Amino acid sequence: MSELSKLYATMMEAIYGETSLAASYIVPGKVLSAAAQLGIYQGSVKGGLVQALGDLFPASKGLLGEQFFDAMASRYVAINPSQSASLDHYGETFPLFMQRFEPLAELPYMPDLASLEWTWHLAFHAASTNAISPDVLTGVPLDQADQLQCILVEPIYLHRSDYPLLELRALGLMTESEVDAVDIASGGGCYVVFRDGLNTQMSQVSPPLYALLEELKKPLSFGTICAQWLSKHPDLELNVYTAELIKRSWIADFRAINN
Amino acid sequence: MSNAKMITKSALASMIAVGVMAASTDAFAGKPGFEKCQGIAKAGMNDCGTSKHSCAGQAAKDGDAEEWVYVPEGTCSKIVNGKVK
Amino acid sequence: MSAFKINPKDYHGVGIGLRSAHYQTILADRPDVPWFEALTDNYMNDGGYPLHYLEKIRAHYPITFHGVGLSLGGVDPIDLTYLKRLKALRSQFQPIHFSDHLCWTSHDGRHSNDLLPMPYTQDAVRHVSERIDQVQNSLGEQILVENVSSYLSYTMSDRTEAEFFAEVAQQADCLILCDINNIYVSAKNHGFDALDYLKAMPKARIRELHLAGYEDQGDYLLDTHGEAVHEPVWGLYERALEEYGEIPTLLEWDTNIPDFSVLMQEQSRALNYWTKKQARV
Ligand SMILES: [Fe+2]
Repeated sequence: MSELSKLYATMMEAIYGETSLAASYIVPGKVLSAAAQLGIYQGSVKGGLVQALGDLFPASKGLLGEQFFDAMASRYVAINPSQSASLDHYGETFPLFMQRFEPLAELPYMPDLASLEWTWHLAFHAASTNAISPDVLTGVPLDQADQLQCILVEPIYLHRSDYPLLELRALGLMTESEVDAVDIASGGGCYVVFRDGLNTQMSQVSPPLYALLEELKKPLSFGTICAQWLSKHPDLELNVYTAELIKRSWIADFRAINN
Repeated sequence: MSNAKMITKSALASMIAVGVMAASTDAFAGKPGFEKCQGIAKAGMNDCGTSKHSCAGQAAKDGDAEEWVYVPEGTCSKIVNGKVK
Repeated sequence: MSAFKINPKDYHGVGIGLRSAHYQTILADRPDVPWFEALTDNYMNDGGYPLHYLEKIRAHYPITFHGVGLSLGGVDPIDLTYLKRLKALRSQFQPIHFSDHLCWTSHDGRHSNDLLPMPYTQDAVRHVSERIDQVQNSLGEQILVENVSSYLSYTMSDRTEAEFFAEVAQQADCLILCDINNIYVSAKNHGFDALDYLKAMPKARIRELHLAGYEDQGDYLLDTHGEAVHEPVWGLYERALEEYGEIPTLLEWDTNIPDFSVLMQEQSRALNYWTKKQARV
């Protein structure tokens, strides 16, 4: 290992954890000790990541309060060093961390909210596709319906939760005076995070529509998907739900399936 | 034509029907302009690529967190029935 | 290595660092700013608002590209995916040039997302010069390399930062972006003379200056890029213009981002020094 490698390895170790070894590489300052100088970098790096998490999970931060959130985030940072030059990739496993974080055990809706926030972030920066145009749609060959694949727009993310995530998110993002209380007992639902042009949006959908979206995420023919959905929802009118997909601009295309 | 085929065909037909109707009523054209969107810099977005060191000192602040920290505050008081036993 | 093609008409005076908080104001008011600096790391996504706004702003203003993610001084291999993205961005937006910092940011897969100082040794000169060369070869043009502010120095360093800079610039045949605030911050933290630093830099390679604000922590100066430019930095800037000539200058404000009008006030103050210098020549 080169001298440079050794120095960097020790410095990186000092930044994310143990500072004592690195001090021997550093010229003590007139005012600050080597450890204090290292501390500035430690604070800058960890603080930067804590701040990034706060930016990416703003509603979670709002609900938990800055003190709690930042302390929890710095625990995450300590065991999850950044692995990318871009902070936009940092925090993917934060919802999972929250799920296992003992002090959150009595607030079980928090990991679900955090997952929703993460996909909001992904959707915000994703390349997006447009909904199918009426012209293209009318040209789709009706008699080959079962050999077509129905393609959802991008990005589109699905969440199912036992908790009212949209209300919780709104509460987390607003100042206290703006939102009335959220009743967790009111139950959860099925949520879709998507883009309308450049605007990232989320809405709550009925369970049957959600089930149809889940099926459409699979690389199956439209015919197979319709059959599977019907076997699970024998009493419902499929047409109503497929039409709803068009109304919401969630279908990008129909393509011939090759098999 | 089998029953399954008919169902699939009818599901697709309903989609096309909605699309045609929407085209005639201009529903596809009337999306609000994104220029009007406010506060895009707020939620879920960070200007990550800056050359600042502004967060120094933060870690020291969080270090002595152990006792007080595990009582979340913020707006949680507005969450009713929030604790699940 | 061919020099980048700068249209002097596009690149003069005092530009401003582009931040998302100001996208809409800039498009609505079209302020009289000669160019904006876009932080490449904020535009490495596949779509969405930031890229959209950068396109809109690019339609009205020239831009420069400034990055923090290359880890030029590091020993992990140069991230080729990052470089590829950078190239794609460059062909889309046609920036005047690209710059990054004389520092390292990651090691063995761990990233600091921060600008960490290098040791100033012969070995490090050779190492970082080769990497800058690699990037320049890949981009097919010279890049600008910027000095960072720092809070520690290494026992193994056997030359000053300015000497190190001069050697690296020569060996890598790269250009220099000289951050006046960073010089001042480091000078105070390490107890060297900022003017000596200015004078020791290889003048002919300096293509751009940066101005920003620090925060006085009592024991040291912290480079927050989050305040107005401080008086001593203005003083040093004036000296830099005397020393280097009227080099295009960029005002950066990264945290506690104020109203755009505040940036315009700072910009016009910088422009005053700049034009005063120009009038004297
Ligand atoms: Fe700078």
